[in-house]
Amino acid sequence: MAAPMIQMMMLLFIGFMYLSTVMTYEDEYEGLRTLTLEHALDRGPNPEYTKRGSILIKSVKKNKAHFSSIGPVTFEEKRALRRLVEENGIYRIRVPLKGTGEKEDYVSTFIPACSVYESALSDQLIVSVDQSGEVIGISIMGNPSHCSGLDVPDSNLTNWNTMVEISQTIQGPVPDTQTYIERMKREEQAKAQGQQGDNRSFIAKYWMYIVPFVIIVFLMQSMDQQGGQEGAGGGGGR
Amino acid sequence: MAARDFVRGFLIFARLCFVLSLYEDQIGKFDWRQQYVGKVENLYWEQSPGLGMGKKIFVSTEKNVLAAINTHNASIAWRKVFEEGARGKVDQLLYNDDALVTVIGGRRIIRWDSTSGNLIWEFFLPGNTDKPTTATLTDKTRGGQVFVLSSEGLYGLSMSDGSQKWRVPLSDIATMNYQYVLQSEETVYVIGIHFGSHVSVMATDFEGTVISTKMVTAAWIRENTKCDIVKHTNLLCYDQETDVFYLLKATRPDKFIPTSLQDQGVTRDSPVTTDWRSSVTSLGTDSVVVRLDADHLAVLQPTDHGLLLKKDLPKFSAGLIIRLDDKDTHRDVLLAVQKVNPEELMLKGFELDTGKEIPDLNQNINFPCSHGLPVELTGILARKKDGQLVYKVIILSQDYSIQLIHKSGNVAWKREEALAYTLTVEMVDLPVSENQAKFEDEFGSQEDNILTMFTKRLKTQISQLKTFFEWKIQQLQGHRHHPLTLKKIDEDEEEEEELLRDEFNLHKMIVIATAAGKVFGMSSRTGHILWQHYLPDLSPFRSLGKDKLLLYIQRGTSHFPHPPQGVVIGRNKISGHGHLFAFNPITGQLVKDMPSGGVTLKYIVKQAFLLGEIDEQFLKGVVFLDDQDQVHTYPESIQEHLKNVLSSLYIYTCDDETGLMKGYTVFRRENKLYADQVWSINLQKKQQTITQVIPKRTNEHVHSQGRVLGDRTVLYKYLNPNVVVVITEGEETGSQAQTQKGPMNFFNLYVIDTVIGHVIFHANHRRTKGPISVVHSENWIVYSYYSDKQRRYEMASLEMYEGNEQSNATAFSSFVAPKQPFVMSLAFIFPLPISTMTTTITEKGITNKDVIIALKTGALFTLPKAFLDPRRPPTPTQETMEEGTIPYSPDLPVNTEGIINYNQTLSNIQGIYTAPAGLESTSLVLAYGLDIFHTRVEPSKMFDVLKEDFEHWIIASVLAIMFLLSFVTQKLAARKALNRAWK
Repeated sequence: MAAPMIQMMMLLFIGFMYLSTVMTYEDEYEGLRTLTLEHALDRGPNPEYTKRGSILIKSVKKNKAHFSSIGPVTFEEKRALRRLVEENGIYRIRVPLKGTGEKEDYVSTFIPACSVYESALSDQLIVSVDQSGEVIGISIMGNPSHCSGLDVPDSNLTNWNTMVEISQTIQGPVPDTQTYIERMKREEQAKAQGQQGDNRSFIAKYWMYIVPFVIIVFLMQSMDQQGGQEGAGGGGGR
Repeated sequence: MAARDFVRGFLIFARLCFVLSLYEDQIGKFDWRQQYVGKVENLYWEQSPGLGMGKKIFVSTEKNVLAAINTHNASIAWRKVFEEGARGKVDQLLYNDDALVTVIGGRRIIRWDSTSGNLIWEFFLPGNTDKPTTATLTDKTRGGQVFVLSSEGLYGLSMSDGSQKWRVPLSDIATMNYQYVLQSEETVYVIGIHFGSHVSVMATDFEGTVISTKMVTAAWIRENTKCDIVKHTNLLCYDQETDVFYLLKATRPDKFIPTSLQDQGVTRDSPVTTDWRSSVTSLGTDSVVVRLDADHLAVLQPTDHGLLLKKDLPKFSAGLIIRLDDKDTHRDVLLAVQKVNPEELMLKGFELDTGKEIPDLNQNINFPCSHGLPVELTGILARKKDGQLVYKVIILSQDYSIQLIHKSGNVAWKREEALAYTLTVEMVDLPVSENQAKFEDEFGSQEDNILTMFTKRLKTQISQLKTFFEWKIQQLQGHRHHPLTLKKIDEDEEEEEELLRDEFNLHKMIVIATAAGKVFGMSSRTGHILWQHYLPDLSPFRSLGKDKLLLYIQRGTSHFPHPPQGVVIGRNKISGHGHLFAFNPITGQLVKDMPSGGVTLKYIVKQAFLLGEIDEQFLKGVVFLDDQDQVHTYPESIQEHLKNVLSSLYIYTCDDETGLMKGYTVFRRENKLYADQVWSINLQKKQQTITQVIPKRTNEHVHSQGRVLGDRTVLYKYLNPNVVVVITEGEETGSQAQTQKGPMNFFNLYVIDTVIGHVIFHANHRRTKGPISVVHSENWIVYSYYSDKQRRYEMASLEMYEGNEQSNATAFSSFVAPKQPFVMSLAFIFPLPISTMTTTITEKGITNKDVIIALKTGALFTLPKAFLDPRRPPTPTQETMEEGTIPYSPDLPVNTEGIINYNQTLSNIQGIYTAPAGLESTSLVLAYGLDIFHTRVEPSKMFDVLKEDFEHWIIASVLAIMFLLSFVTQKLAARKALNRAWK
């Protein structure tokens, strides 16, 4: 009952997305991009891949992308997933790329099947995109990612709850001479200001040292005089 | 406030500028340097009349080196190292009448002073230099000229000052390949070849006037046809398809005279295959020695009717003809060497005219099989006053070694030039002494009861006492004897060395694998070669544009009684399959059942690595992935053990031709192991090429899991052991690039988890170019590159952190790790060009790290990692002061105290290997390239050992005096107290 509803919602949503991308097309040089996501639920080697849905990349720069599944998970798929978990197998996904040669190129990755199962089909995809917009790799991560041997009821295994993240190649660091020079300038200025503020006269600057010195000298002199007088007086008394 | 911050910052800075330099009397105490020249291509004996011949030899080598080697002790008198690559290639070395002239990089003609190696003059050829340039010299008596033939003209240069005297333009330069310039008494001949059609011979006199030009048809001549000049004016060519020799006399260029060796009665299995250049020697004489096979020579004499076979020399591998000038007559003597048994060579002398043996010259030479076969022989021969013949002969062998033989048959010296081709280095701990092993045994076992432990203790002490007395007795007797010594290489020079671990484990065995197919064991204390093996079939892998040999230590020395084991893995020269050689890295002995040349595997190796797990015999297995995605192991028996760890075994491969990185798991089917591809990354081959893949060192210990910040919180490091750094280089295309001048180079750096194929981090550097050198350690990456935009060398530093919480402290798993760690980065300007970099490694990883940078100037420079910290703040604050980071300044300081090789310049450093010593403070460094240099570094100074100049006596005497004083005062105090009590 719920499935057709969701499908319709999805269609509407896609339609809406499409419209919005058409509107923003002008300022997004990389444009709208759809990637097919395939997965394999048998153990392998050389497993058979089936389509799981598509990833719609709206904007690489703004990290806007989302996943739309082709439909709810079928009973066979659920059974295959359960078997895979029992066998301690791996869940594989891949994205076909429009290869240069005759052969179709894929980027692919995998995850322990239990991780997908126990997280009740909620996972996170990371699509790595290089500086010219080409897809270089994909990674998947269960949410939560560790397995603890939980049993998940079938009803929780119906819909994919997938988040997509785009990771684009960033510009590498460059030596930052500008801020350094600015800092040096600032420091120099501060120094210069410090020097400028101190253009008072010698006496104005050091009066606090000079005054006690003068007082001491003055006092010493008066003491000397007193002492001399006393001495003289003593001498006289003798 | 700001001033105080500044002062504090300065103090931190000053503290970090360690004085790393040595005192003058420490020079050579823990470092040594060895200089090499490379594989010899041309060799001449010095001929300075009057002073006696052969004091020096002049060599030019494959490594773009010109050098003079003293023949009395093998030391290098002088050496010139030219630029790497084709620009610095020594095309030709000419030596005549004490004039030494080289042709370098196809266009530079340089005359050198033969005694000092100083440049006398240089002539720069105009025009393009795609085609080879050759030259020839005349004697002083004939004007002293250099005739240089480039692809466009023939030049006559003055020998004295290098000025151009004349130039003759050549005709048909588009189709003709002018390759040979010859001379007779008065004429210069230029031979040009039109492949598949004809040969032209142009004759000019010494003044540059053309006398004649003649065409000779030669439809058989191809681009790969090997030709050489013999007997001054003859061109000898060999056509491989028909197995026929062709001889052309330049003096009368009518036709090529064909000669088939089969007609002359020479039988052999295969046609002439070995390289021709080194096979035709002895130009000064009438005849020529031609190599037909690795151990088959023939002496041919050019005559008017073609070649005449003078002597067939089967089983001889190298020979030369020397003209011996007796009073009036002269005669030609042929010297040739023959391998008589694996350890011995037989040198024989023949009189060439009669073909008779000269028994005086016959000699057996000790020649270990670690040299392969002799390849070339050069030498000088003289008659002493008593009529006896004496000679000095230099043998060049397959393993690139040079050795000098005297008349007595003794090897005077050897130079192991293979060491200039070092590709991989490992350092292995030496075994502990017998007593110490017993010690370990004593305290190692847990289940012993007190009684057995006590008896063990007594036994050990008795044996210790015994060895002590034995040692004392030996000392008194005056000579020492060690149970564990190896066969010495040079009896006279080398002292016997004890191969036992020293107190601080500073003395190690250096195992070196070279591109020449030779494996060496070297003492790290002295640099002496202790053992060597030559593997004729071994050649390096070619991966990502670089030669690579794998060298793994499968078992160390700490598992007595199991011997240590190392393995070298390369490619078989002929079949291209894997080639493996296992040995004991301490003694150099082969592992049981290992043939002396190594084993060829049955598959092409795509990937190989050392397994982290050990089996019951403490042996780490080597895992191979072949091109059919099948997984193999060495030894085979390890497969059983591998079953247990199969689920956690992941393999990755990296293909620079497709730009794809792939990951595999391993599964078992029908008792065989196969790889199953589980992830792939597409690194966009059409834009860029993968040039480097740098994993972390496996033996690295990280002491601290995080770093404490100024506010007392901890920033945890992202310590993922499965991470590799991948570097791709490319050229930018598109509209943006077109607006700029010239190509826009860039490189990308990817940090990739190799278990799940996740791109953790990726960065792009625009308008930069390589060569890029990367250091990858702990949670940080440091890399250097050249910035095209700013025209300077820059260094960038990345550090990865998990954040304020650690996800899994005990064991790391790529499946549950945080997918996107927090990456910090910062870039710096480095003022000097860099050739390669590495980082120090210590026993427990407590010591700070230094980045060791090999500069193109020949210096090894150490830079504390703190200078490359991405957390260096642009403006220092209280908090950053607390953390101890240095305020950011865009340029990195290069202070001369940080140059660890002081004035010992190292040429063309290709790599640096670091190994931990037993001391936590110390890291051992070996830099290799054309030269080899070993030293130790202490990045945080020597904090765990007292300094050498520590005043033990003063401290001891002060302590003694204190003790005495306290004793005396105690006595006095007691007496005083007693007296007081009596009062």
